[in-house]
Amino acid sequence: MLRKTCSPRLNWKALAEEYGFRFHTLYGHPYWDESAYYQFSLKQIEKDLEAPTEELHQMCLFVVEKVVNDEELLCKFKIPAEHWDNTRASWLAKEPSLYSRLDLCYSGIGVAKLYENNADTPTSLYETGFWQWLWLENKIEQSEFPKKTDQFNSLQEKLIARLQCIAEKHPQEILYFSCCKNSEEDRGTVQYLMDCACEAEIPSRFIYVEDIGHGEGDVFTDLNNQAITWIFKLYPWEFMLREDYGRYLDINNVSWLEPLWKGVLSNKALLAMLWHLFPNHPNLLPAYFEEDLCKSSLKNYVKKPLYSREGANITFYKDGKAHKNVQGPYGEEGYIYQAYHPLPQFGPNHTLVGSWLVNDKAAGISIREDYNPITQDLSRYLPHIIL
Amino acid sequence: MKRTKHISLNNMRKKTRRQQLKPLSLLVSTLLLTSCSSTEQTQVYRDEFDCMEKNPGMQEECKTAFANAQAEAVKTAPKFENRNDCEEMFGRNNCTSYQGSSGSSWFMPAMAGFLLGRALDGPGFGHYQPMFTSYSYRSPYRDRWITADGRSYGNRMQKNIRTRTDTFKRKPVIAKTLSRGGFGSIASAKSKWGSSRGGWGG
Repeated sequence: MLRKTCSPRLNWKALAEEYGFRFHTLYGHPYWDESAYYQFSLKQIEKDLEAPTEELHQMCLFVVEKVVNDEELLCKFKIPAEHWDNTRASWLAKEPSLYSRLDLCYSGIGVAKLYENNADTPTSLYETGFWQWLWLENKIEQSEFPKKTDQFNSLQEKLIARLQCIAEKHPQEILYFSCCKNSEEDRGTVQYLMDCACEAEIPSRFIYVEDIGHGEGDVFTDLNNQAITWIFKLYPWEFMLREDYGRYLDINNVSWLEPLWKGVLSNKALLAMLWHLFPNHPNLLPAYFEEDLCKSSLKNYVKKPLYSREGANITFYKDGKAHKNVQGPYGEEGYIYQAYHPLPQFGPNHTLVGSWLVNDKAAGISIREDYNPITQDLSRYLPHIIL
Repeated sequence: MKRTKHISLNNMRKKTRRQQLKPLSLLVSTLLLTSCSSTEQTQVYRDEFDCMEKNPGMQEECKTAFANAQAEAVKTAPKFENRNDCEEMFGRNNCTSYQGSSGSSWFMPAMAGFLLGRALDGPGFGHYQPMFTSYSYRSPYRDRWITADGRSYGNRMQKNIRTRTDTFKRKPVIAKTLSRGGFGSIASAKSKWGSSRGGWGG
């Protein structure tokens, strides 16, 4: 795994405009950064990332099976009691999942360690599935890379195939896509999935999460009062379960993407449960619930809220003392403690590997880097190659 | 190869180099329509008795289909806030009031007949579909057979109509919306942190 500088494509901003990639620059800082790329060997990809990703996913599914059948664990995972039955039902019915992203700490040498699982609302999907793919195609066309250069990125192909497969249970049904207002990035991510649905020949419609209505017969409705029966939401389950319409979730028959059981996985209690069930697994970092921390020998660790996004509310502890923290709006549901295992540095950059799954198949990676040791929402996105 | 083999770049463009390209969704639906064009001759029946008369020995099937079609009509028919709007579209005395579970009432056109289709996988009838018509001079549906989604199947005097394979597909349920905004409140409460890009993915 090498970080190599290169010159950006001369026309990349024009291309971004043409393809509707609008969030490549955020608050004046580059988010998409093609002034460098990461190079992996095929062995690194297949042995260190692809295989562990699928194995970690299977371990996560094992955790879901444990949690939905154990009220004590449902409590620890802070799933509201009124949604326990529905969460269990969603799992038992094997409601299909679309995609996830595991965040891995990997330096090119040794094993990848799981930081967390973005199982419910992963983003940077478009940048990965399409935009970095296009970057490589252009670079090969312009003979900057040899023809045999590859990329670990079958995301778009797999998303389309997965949507087609899920659609077999929804013949002729409209698949709604939704996200919150006021986020160009989320809207862009959802648009990308709509493009994939279109390729899969699934009729789709967009609605903002805030515009979803509650209609007679306890259905959810779109702005034309048409009942919504099948919907993708880029909006966390942990919010939905606690919001006003959460009470209709167990009485109507909507098929959700991601399904409700995915909410168990996007919860950082997962990390403590994984370590408990698979202690010393090479791809796991020691992690504990608050009440078990004293029994552990952790001295340097990271305190993570059960629910948080993009590095918010994370605190580093060195020799048991708070050292560095990130502000944010999360933490009221509690925390877990994970062994301190810093990201590898490539020059001044701290680099995180996002490893994608479509259903249970590893589907590619995305690279984020930051001058700060905690990857946050403004961390840069860099493309990668396999050579 | 570890990457997607092919991506149709034309379909990924949001701004076409040449403006006249139609959005793919339209193209796809045209394709779907042409590929679903196999047709079948089917009868519209006024009610269960009409059905029984024309299908001796199928009493039970006619009864069930009629009841099912009526229940389906309540779910999928176009709905109106008041009688005037409904009658404007469907004609005088052709609208029935409908009492919702929340106690509010609204209006929908009366079911004018129902379609009965042969089962694809066995003997007898398998599909039904409520049919509507309009008596209003101002309506494009005047004297036409239409399904709940507004598709026309020809003149009302004609009882034999040509259906397509998607005629019997379930129509979207139309429900009176009682409220909106029950999702999204936590995101909006947390967004005052504002330093982030504002998204709720991660």
